[in-house]
Amino acid sequence: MTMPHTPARKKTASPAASLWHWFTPTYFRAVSGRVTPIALVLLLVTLPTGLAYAFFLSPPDYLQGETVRIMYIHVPSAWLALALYGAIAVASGITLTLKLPMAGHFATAASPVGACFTAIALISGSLWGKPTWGTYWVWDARLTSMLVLFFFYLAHSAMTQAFKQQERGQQAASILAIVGALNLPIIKWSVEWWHTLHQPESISFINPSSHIDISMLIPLGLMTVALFSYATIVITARMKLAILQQKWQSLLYQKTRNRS
Amino acid sequence: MLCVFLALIRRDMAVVLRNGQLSSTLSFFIMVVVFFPLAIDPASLDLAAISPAIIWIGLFLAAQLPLERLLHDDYQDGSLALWSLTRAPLEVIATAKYAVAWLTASLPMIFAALASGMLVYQWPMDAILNNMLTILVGSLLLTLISLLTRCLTLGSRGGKGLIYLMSMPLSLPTLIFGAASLRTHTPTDLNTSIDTETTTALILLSLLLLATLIPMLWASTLALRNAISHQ
Amino acid sequence: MWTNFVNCLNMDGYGIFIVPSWLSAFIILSVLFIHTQRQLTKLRRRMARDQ
Repeated sequence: MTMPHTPARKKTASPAASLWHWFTPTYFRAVSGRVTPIALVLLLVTLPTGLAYAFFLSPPDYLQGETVRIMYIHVPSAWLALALYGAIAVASGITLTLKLPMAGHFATAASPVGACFTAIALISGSLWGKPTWGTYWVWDARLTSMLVLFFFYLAHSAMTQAFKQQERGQQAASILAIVGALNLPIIKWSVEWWHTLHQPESISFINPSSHIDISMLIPLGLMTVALFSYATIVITARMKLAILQQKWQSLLYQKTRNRS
Repeated sequence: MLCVFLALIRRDMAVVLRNGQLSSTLSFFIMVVVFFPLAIDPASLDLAAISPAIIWIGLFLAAQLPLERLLHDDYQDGSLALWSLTRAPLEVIATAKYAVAWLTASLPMIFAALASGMLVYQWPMDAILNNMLTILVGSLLLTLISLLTRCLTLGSRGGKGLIYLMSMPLSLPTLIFGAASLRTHTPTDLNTSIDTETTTALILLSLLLLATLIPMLWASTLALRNAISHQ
Repeated sequence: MWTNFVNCLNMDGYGIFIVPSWLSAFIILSVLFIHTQRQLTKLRRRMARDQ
């Protein structure tokens, strides 16, 4: 064991035990001090250039005209909303099996961010849908599962804050996150099945990724990086918040114990 | 183990019956089902066509009620922690709670739902077996989801809104397949495919129950263990 | 180039869809950021006072 964080008193340190030290609040503080400035620089570079490409440099689409510019906020936020839910599900699995406290803090920190991205994807999607399909909302499988994802995010973040003990909330929320992650494909499939049964009115979905031009790919990529850096900054800050909350709770607990 | 299971069921049944909770859940469901047609102009709409939505919403809302007393009250007064100290594993206790919740709330509701479907919404008589099976499987699923959400929120500061926020998306596949497999019209010559569609939906609903029963009970046990250890 | 941007802001045309979607995104993200920072400073202040 050459790892510097392995304590000397543990002679037979299992891999899981040494991994534990890489996920402690102390280690996190060292990492976050380095990650946040990098993410901030990335955000400050990619956001202005992404906006410039989205509004000035990229041409209007030959089919959709100017409305294609909604895509540059809609698609990256939808990607991030899904990716963050996947990350939360993985972190929840770690919380339940290995009981690493930072995994629980990550899930707690990421779910409000994911909820915001899902809300943005829903709002911009319906505003994009009106000029392209003629309606703000259809009960299509993709839209319905996105709405359900939003509810899962709300329930998950409410769960993490719903208990006096933070650890209890995080464990309950991690069970919910895993059940939700298994449930989302079933929901998507069931809504699709329901629609084939009822044959909805013919709304043709214009698939933005079918033949995408490089002039559209550049702002899409830049905005994705910008939103990813934003998510990194806010999640890191919220993880700090979760660590502080835990500390605050144990302080309060000690105080009430000393008093009695 | 079986001894504890049966003792817990007997005790919970006695508690529920003494509290008159049986009739309160049932009357809640009947109220939902009967109020809908009163709020809708009966002449303008085909009531049978929207009856699956009404029945499933009623079943969904009523399925959230029984476990409040069965789990939450037992958790608050500490008897759940005492039951967990018996020889029986926590899985058995969770299953017993599930069984009592279904027996006392959903079993009477199946007959209430069928009766109201026949009387209020004019379901065809020959579809009674299909609809009974559908509601049976669907109520088993809804109670299962209610068990998980109740176990997760034991001792929480969040109110009832949290429970509905969680169970609504989880119940969505059940509602979809359940609504599709209720047969509300007599099949005419024009749409004979309705029969196969409802049967497919019923099979899918049953598969959903078979696939989720053990994992959901296990997740509920995990949540229950977590709740008791943090009491 | 400049006409692209002017077209986006044209409220008689598609601007009525483009402007709110981007604006709501910026409002949501900045509210989340400010909320996070405010909670952090509040908690830090409270912990400093109580120690």
